[in-house]
Amino acid sequence: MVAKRLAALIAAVALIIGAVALRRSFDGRSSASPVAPGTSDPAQTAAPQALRIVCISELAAACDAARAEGAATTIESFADTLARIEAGDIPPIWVTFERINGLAVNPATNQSYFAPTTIALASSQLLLVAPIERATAFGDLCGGANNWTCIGKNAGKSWADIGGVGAWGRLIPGHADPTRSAVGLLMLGSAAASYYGAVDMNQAQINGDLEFGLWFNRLESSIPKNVFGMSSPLDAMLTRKLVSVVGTTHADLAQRASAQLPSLTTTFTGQTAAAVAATVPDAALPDEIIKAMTDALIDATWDPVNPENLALPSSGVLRTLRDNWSNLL
Amino acid sequence: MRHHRFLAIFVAGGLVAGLAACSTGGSKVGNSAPDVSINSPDIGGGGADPGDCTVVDMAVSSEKIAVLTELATNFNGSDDAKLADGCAFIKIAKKASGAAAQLLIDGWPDPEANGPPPVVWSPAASAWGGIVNERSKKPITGTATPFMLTPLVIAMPKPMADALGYPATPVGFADVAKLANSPEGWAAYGHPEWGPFRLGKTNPNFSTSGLNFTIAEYYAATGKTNGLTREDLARADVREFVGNVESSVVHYGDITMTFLNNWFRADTRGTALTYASAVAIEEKSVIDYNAGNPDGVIDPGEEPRPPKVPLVAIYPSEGTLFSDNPFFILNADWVTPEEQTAAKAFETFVQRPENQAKVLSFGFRPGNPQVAVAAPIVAANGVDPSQPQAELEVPSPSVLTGVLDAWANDRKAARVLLVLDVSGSMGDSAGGNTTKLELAQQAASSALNLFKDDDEVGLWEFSTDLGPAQDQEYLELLPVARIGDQREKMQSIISGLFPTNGTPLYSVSQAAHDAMKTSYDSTKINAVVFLTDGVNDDGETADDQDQLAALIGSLRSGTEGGGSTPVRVFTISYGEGADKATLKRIAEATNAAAYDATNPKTIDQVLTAVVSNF
Repeated sequence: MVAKRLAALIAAVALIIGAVALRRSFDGRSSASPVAPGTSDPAQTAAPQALRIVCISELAAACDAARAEGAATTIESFADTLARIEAGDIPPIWVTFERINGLAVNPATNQSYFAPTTIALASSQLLLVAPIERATAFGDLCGGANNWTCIGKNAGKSWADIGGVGAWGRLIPGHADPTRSAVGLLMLGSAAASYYGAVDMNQAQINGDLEFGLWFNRLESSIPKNVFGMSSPLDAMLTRKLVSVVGTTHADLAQRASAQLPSLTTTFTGQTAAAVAATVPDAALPDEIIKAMTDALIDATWDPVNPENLALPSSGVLRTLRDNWSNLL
Repeated sequence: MRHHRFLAIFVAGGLVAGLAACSTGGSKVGNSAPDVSINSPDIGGGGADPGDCTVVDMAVSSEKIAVLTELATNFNGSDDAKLADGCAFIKIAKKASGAAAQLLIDGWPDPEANGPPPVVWSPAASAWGGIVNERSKKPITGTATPFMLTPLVIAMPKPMADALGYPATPVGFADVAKLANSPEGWAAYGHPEWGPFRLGKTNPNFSTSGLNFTIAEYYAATGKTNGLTREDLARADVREFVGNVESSVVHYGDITMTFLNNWFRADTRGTALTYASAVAIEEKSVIDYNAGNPDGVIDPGEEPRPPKVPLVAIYPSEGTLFSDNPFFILNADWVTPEEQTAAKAFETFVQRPENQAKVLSFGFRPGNPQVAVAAPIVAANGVDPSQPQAELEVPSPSVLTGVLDAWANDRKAARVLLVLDVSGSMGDSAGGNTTKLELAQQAASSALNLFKDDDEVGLWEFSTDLGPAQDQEYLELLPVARIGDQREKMQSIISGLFPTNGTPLYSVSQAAHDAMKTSYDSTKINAVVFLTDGVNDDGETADDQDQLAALIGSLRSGTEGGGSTPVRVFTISYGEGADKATLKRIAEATNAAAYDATNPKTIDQVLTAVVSNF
C-alpha cells in the first residue's frame, strides 16, 4: 500500500514538473513574436535559470535568435547596459561590438568585467555613404578620397564653395548619437583613425591635440542635432537630404537603403564593426546559441566574421571621444 | 466644409467585418468655409471592443487621422497586435499639434473635454516634442522615428509663380520677405491687378506649418541656415525683418485648411489671385488642393473638382523644414510600461514597407527609405519629388521657445471687435449650476490675455431692447482701443454681463462689420469675433431671408479684389441652438472661419483657437 502511494506521489510530481516544463516552452515561444529586429525589448523573457543574454540594439537579431533557443534576453542601448553594469547588474553574456565591451570596467580593479577573449559572431564594414552626385563633387575636392579627414575639414561649408551646387545647402555629415548608439561611437573612433592615419593614439594625445580638437569640433558641431534622434542616420539622408554623407555599417545600409542603392556611393572607412559575445569569466555560451545568433545576424545583412579589418582605436580612446563629443553639445 | 469624421469599426464574432465612414461636426456642401470644431469625436481604430487588450490611446495631428485610422484598423486584432502577455489595441484621436503640446505641458487636464491622456503622441513635427520638454522641464518626449514626411513649401498660384520665374529662378524665404515689403506689390512683376503681396500663414503656437515658416523667417532674417541662437532673435534688424514679413499676413489661424478652403472658394468665384499670394503649407496640402480637395478629406459622395488656378509648391532656395510626424511613446506619469510595449508593437507595424506605402496615397513621403517616393508626389500635381535639396536645421528647444516668444511681439497686430450674445437663452444651463453665459464670460476673459498689448480690441454686447430706452440691439461697452490699456476693464465688464432678450443676429453682425470697415487699418488684421447661441430673432420674421441676403452681399463686397479692405468675421456657434448654417455663411462671405462650440464646455478652447487668427 505504501509503495503504491509512493509511486503515485512520484508520478504526480513528474506530471507537475512536465507541465511546468511544457508551460515554459510555450512561454519562451510566445515571447518572441512581438519583438521586431531593431527594437529593444526591456521586458526579459521569464525563464528561470535560463541563460541570460543582453544585446545592444544594433544586434537585436542575435537576441531574437537566442530567445528562440530558450535564453532570457534583453535588447537595449549599449549606454543602458553600461548603466546597468555600473549599478552592479552585470549580464553574464553581452552581445556587443568589440571595443564597446571594453567600456565596462570595474572601477575597483580597473579591469573589464568581461573575459578578454570574446566570441566572434559577425562583422560589418563601417562605410561612408553619400548620394552619387554629391560624393562625386566632394571627391574632386578631396583628391578622389572621401574620408572623415576631408569631411571634417569641410563640414558646414556651402556646397557652392567646395565644388557642389549651391542648392544643396551645406556639407553636412551624419552619424548616430555616440552616447546611445554603439555604431555612432565606433564612428567617432573611425573618424579619429582617419585623422591620425593610425589607431594607436591614446587619450592624452586626443585631449592634448589642439588641431585635432578643432577638426573634431568642426566635424561634429556641423551635424544637426535632430539627426541624433533618428533610428538610423541614413534616413536623414535618404528621406529628406538633411545630411550629405553618412557614416554607418554596411548592414544598416543593406537594411535601410536597399531600394536606393543605385543612387548611392559607398566608401569603406577602413574600420569594421565586429559583433561579439563578451562573457563574464565563469559564463559559458552553448554552441547552438552561438550558431543561432551568428546565423540570425547573417540573415539580418551582417557579414561573416572578419577580425583582421577591425582597425579601431582602443576602448579608452572611444570613451574619451564620447566624452569630448558630449561636451560639444 | 467638411472636416470631422471618423471610421467606425464594426466587429462581428471577433472578426473585423467592415468599415463605415461617418461624418460629424459641421455639415458641408461643396467646398465651403472652414468650420472648426474643438474636440469633435474624431476617433478611429477604436470603434471595436478592445476586449482584454492593452489599450493605447494615441493623439495625432489632423492631417494623418485618416491614414492612421486605417492602419490601426488593420493592426487591431491582427497577429501583429499580439504581445507576450495579451494584445495591443490602438485608439486614435485627433488633436492639433500645438493644442496637444500645451495639454502635455499642463499634465493633460480634464480628459472629459480633452480626450484621454495619450500613450503615443504624433504631432506633425518633432520640434513640438522639444517645446514640450523645454516648457514642462520634464523629458516627456524622447527620441522618435518619423512615420511619414512632408516638407514645408510656399504654395503660390501658378500665374504668380510664373511671374516670379519659378522654378528657373530660385525663390527663397528672403525673396518672399522682399515681396512682402515691396510697396509696389505685384505691380513690380507687371501685375498691378493682383494688388499687394498677401501672405497666409498659420499661428506658430498652434500649427506646424506656422511654426516651421516662422523658424524659416528668423533664419532668413539672419542669413543663416543653421545655428539660430536666442541672441539672433533679439537683434533689432532681425525683429524688423520679421515684422515686415508679418505685416503682409492676411490673418493667422490654427489650421492651414482655413486658408485652403477660402482660397478654393475664391477660385470658384475667380478671385483666387486676390485672396492670397502665397500660403505657407505642407507639400501634401498642395497635392490635395490641386486635386480639388482643399481640406484633405473626401466626404462620402464627394466628387473633387480641380481648381481653375492650380497651386505650385515653391521649395525655398535656402532649404526648408519638414513635418516628420514622429511617434512619441510618452514618458508621462499616466503611461505604464505595458502600454509602452504595446505602443512599440504598433510603431513597428506602421514602419513596415507595405504600410509605409499607404502614406503615399495620402500625399506624404514615407518615413522608411525602403519605400521610394512616387505618385501622387509628381510634377503634374504641382510638386517636385526631387526637392527640397537642403534642409534648415531645427533649432534647439530653448531657441524654439524663443522663436515663439519673439513672434508674439513681431507678429502683425490686430484690431478686433468682440461681439457677445447676451440674449435670454444664454442664461440656460451649460451643465450643473453654470449657465452658458457664465462659461462664455470666463472663456472670453481668459482669451483677452492672448492678445498682445498693442492689439486693439473693443467689446459689444447684443440682444434686443437694450439701452436706456430699451430700443437698441447692441451696446458698445468699450471702443476698439489698445488692449494693453483696457484689458482689466474689459474683463471686469465681461464678468458683469447678464442675459436679456432676443437675438438680432443679422442686423448686429452687419453693424459690427460696418463699424470695423469704417475704421479699417491696413497695417493690422481687422476682424469681428461674433459669438451667439441662437438664431436671428429680432421680433420680425417676415424679412429674415431678405435681411440675410443683403447681409451676405454686403459682407462679401469689399472683402475681395486688389483694393479691398477686408474685415473678417469669425463666428462662433455656441450651444445646441445656434444657427450654424448662417454663421458659416457669414464667415464664408468674409473669408474667415466659422467655429463650432456646440458643447458649451469647449468654449474656452474655441475662443483660444479663434484668437489664434490674430
